[in-house]
Amino acid sequence: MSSVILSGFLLLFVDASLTWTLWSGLLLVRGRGASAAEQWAAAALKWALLDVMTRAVAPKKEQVVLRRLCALLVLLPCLLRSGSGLGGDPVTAPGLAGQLQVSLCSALSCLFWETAFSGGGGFTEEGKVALDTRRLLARLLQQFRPDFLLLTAACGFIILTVACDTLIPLFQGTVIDMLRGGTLDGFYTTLGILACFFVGSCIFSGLRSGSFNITHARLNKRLRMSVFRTVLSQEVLFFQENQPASLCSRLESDVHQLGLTVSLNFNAVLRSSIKTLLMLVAMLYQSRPLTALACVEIPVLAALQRQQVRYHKELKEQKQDSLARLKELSHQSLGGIRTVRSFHGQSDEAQRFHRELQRLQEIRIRARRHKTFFTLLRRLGSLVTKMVMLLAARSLMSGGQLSGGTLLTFLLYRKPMSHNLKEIFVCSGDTLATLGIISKVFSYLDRSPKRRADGHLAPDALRGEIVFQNVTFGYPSTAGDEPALKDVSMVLEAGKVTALVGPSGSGKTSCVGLLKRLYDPQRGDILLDGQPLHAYDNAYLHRKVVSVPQNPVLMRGSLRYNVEYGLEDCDFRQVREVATKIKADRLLAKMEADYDADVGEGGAHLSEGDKQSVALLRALVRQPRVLLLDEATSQMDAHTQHAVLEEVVRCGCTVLMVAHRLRSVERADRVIFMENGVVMEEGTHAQLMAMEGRYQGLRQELSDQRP
Amino acid sequence: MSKVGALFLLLFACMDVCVLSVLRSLQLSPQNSLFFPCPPLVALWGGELTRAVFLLLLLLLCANGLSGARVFGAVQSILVLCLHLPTYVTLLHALGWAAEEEMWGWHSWERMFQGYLVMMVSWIYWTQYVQSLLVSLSLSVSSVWRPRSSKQEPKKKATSPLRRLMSFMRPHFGCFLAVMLLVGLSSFCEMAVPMYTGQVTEWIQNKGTPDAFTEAITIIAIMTAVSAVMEFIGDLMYIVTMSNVHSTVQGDVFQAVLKQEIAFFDRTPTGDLVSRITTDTNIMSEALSERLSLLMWYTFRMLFVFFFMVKQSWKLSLLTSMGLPVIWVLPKFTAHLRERISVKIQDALAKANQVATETFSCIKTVKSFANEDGETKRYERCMEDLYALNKIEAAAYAGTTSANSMTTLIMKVSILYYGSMLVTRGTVSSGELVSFILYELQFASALDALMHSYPEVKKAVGGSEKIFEYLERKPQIPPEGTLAPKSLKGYVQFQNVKFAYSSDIDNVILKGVTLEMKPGQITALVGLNRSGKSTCVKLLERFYQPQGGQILLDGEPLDSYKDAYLRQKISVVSQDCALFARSVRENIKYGCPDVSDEDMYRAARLASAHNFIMGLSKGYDTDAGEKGGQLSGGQKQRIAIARALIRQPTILVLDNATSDLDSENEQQVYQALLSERVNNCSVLLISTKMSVVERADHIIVLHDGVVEAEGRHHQLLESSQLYAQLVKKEMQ
Repeated sequence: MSSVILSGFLLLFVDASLTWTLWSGLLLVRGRGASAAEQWAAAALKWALLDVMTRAVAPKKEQVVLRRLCALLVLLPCLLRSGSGLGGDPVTAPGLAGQLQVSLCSALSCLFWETAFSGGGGFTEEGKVALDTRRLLARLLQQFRPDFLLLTAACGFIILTVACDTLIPLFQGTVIDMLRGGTLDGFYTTLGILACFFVGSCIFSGLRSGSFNITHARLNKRLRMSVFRTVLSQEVLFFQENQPASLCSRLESDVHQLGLTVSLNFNAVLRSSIKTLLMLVAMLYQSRPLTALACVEIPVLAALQRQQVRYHKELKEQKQDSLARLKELSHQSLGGIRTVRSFHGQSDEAQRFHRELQRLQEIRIRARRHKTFFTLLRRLGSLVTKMVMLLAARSLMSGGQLSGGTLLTFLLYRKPMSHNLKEIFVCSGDTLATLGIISKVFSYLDRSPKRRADGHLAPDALRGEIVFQNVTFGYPSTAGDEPALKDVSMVLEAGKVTALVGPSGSGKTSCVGLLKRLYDPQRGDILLDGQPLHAYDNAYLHRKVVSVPQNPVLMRGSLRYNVEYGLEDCDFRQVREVATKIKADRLLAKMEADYDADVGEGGAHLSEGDKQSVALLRALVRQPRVLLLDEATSQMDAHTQHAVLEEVVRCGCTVLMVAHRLRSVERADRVIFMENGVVMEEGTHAQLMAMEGRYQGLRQELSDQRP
Repeated sequence: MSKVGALFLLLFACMDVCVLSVLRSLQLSPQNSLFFPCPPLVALWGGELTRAVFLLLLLLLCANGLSGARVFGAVQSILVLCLHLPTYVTLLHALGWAAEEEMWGWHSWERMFQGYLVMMVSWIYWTQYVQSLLVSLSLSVSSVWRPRSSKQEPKKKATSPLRRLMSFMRPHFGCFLAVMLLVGLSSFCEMAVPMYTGQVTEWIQNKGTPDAFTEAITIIAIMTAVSAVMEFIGDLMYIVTMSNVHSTVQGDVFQAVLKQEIAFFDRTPTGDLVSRITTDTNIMSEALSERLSLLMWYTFRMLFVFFFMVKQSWKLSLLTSMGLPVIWVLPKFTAHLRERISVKIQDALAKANQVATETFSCIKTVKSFANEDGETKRYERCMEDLYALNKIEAAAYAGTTSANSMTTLIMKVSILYYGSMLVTRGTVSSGELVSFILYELQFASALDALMHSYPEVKKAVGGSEKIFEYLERKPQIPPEGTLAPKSLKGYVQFQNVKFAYSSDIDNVILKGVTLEMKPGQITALVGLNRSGKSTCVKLLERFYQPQGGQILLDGEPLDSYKDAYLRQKISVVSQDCALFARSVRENIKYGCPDVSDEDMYRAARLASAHNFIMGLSKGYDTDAGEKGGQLSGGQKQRIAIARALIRQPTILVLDNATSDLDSENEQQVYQALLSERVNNCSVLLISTKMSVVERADHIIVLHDGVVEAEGRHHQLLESSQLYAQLVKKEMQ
């Protein structure tokens, strides 16, 4: 860092001496002031020399910064002089003051640029982070592409508003002057013009904020949709690592924050920048040295802002996390209200919630405290610069270089100018502080699901034979433990009923999960009709391979919605047919009475048995080729269980029946006995009984207990 | 309707113009002395009264379709329109001031328009302020007269959210006062700075002494610094208090929701509730903490500027302040508008939230039916709704911003215009006017900021009225009992209990159930699906209130027991055992965190869960929710059983609690539970498995909401056909 400053000073010195030499050379040759062309030529020469020097001296990392400085050093005086040269007076040699002024200006603006915007300019250790920042912002801007027209319109409105706003004081001044002077010729015309500008300002600013709000809403909608879509396409394990409510909080409040920060700040920064530029020009016309002094404020503000952003970013992320946790907490306790109530856990829950609230409050207070503290610093800083400026003005005035009137106008401009500067810094700082959130949102967008890509197989006829080939599978969240399935190989023959039995925790449900493609096996393959499962089209597969889970989950909505879940072409006739077959008479009666009746959240309005019936209906109505029944009838009464079993045996599709109750599996064509993730025994019921192994043992134990 | 109204107004205006023209031509005609032989004052009164009579006649003609209040308003307006000038002139006359111009020119076009203006302004005053003031005054008077009138009750209920919020701020009143003081001082310092800047510039212009300059500069520096520091301190205090308020509100809402009856949760989706508790409160408090301070800041600013204005010219200030209430109508209106939209937006947001949460929590179902597209479409619909509302909001925002600025600019321009008129007449010196106008402009911009902030605050608070709805909602639960006897036998009686979840009569679940559970016995409930077994349990848990009959515990109604006591004594393991996403330890110790680990181990052993828990990678600290250790259904159920056993209940209810267990473990659990029963508790057993049920001391067969038979296993096999059938089916 210090080496850059050193080389910077060196550069300034070299530039000064070069300028002086060149000018004296010119003077020697021509004997008088140079024309504009000569001046530009001299500048070009100077630039070339300086550039060469920079490349030679400075290490590569610092070159970028120094070359920027060079360009400024060379171009600034040229531009200024050409500007004043337009007036017709010949260009004279720059005095010492002029040279100093140029050097100071360029050095300051360089400093400003480096500290405020380029995030360290790529030469600090944060280089990578800074690069990341720029990439993130660029990506963010890309998100706005569909709203290009709207944004352009908004920018147009901004410019119009700013134009009106700048003209208003002018006419206001005229009107007041007229009143002061007591001459009212043309007073009403001026007043009329003023009113016109007022109206313009009002209307345009309304339009501006309106169009920005709409842009924000559109961005929100778009981003939410794409985040929702990508999140939904993730593998199931992702949802076990991220709680639904906290995901939802990301979706809602993070995206909102992002859109808000960007569209609001974009609006404010743009407006203030235009204003500042206009004012800067006006101020430059008034007095150059004072402008330079006023500009001292900029790097001070920028440095302060950088510090603040650093704190603020962290706190902002913490706050969003805390919000997500809060949401998760309330979701948990309100979702499980029955459990909470029945164990009298209200006060406990309230305490938990309160603790999290306390944490959030702390974060919030800390963030705001930082903010106010920096506001204080900023105000004091700006006060100091104001004092310095006034003192300098006084000395200038006593030197006769500044008239009182000019200072007055200058002072009038300074206040709004510093206000605008503040706005620019605060807003851009705010955007930078939101970067954490932005990158989080993008990380969701970028995450590719950790599962094998779907294939496109969708054969018309499917026999429904399933083969497990040396499948090993463990849940990643329990990485330390033994895998749930260890080298399992088995065959489910097409059109037959296979029963999977074993004590709880032996890996039966994991087999079903794998068949549903909720997870992918770590090793081995599962083949359906000789093709690996993932080669099939996802929608096709889930139409053909259908499961009824242990604890069926119903969605909030009508019975119809739940039975026809995900199906588009389904009529009630089919449903009735299936329902009669599995003897779900009560449910059928209910459906016939009111098919659109609400089932409540998670099917709360239905009894457990009915829920299982709905789940069964939902599966059978798809006319699957492979049916996975994972303890599907455990809550049903014996009567219905029986009917279901009959229907399942009769339906002719491949059936995998998971049961831990051994009695119900006697009718299966084939029984597979699992324990601890390994297939222990297989064969028909009779064979297994004859084998006198674990199966027979358990069976025996059970019947011994019966009186 | 509004079209007709506009037509009426036009008609009245025409009539008015005609009458006035006639009167004018009469008074100004050469035969003046013929028609108006009287002095001009009397002529004025006469003319205006004639005008009023004509207008009232017209009103009488059209009034038959109008309501009383409207007719009253119209009469009032007409009277104001016609009589304000004569009254004013008479007043002037009485005071002895010159009023010649008014007396002779009362029917000129200018005066006519002025009259309309006065009428409009007074109408606004009347409808917006005076009326409500009168109403509240009369209410307070009447409440003094009749302090206990029951009619006031419904009025009280409709407290505005803002007032409700204020009640949360009241405890911090001192803090707010201090903050206000600080803000006041700070803004005073800031307002005073320009005065000294003025001195500096004066010095510049007059080439004054250097001493004055230094002095002014020092004062500026000190003032600014003091103002900055004051603001800093004030802000700090404000932040702390506001976030205190925020936390209190949020915590209270959470507790209020937690207190509601179960049926409330059946009706309201969880996602919706969560959204209300978290998002809505956050939006509200954040907007408040930002805007409220702005509001304070600008109010003070306005007050100070107004103070300086009054010092300059009280007449002009009075004029300005007269205009204020009229201008204030607009922000009031826009606040109302934005409040309404924001309620809708919040609703839409909650709905979208609900959809997303449900989809994410049911992800396995979504995935196994490959319905990602369907869910995306559902979410998209919500987003579309939200977007449509957002568009309206954006338009409203744009419109109101423009309108707000427009009113302030009208104020500015009219002051300039009026000032110029005053200058031409020579009533005000131009110098005085200019400085007044300079203040006036500042005043207007402060007012502008105020007018922007006020609707925002209203919107933030109003958008969250659901929060206050929840806060004020009384749970429909009978008041908690007080009974908490030292020893409880556990004798439960259902006496002719009737119950339905919804109010419709077809859906009655229990149709007069009478049964009893003797202390220390195992009672079993059997029956087909939907015969009302689980409903009995829910009633026993006091989740719902029976519509008929009563439930007695040890001879006392269930409601008369203390809630915490009851939960300690009755433990339920339900069908869908919900574990929390916390450690196994926290789950087992749920609701009684002070129990020792030894007791926990004992309970876990009884539920035959200890061994498998110890086998998990982190033992009792393993996460039991979805997040962590992939517990199988059976394992979860055993943890739920341990959770019920740890509190050593007097009554243990097992509602299909072992459905996911394999036979071996199930037998173990029952062996442990039923033979080594802790302190000999009563057990209510519900199971679809007859092999489990048949060991009970007493079996009750429920069918279609009534008790069909009861007795022991072998008795029932003979006496109840349904029971025999159930047993037979399972044996197959």
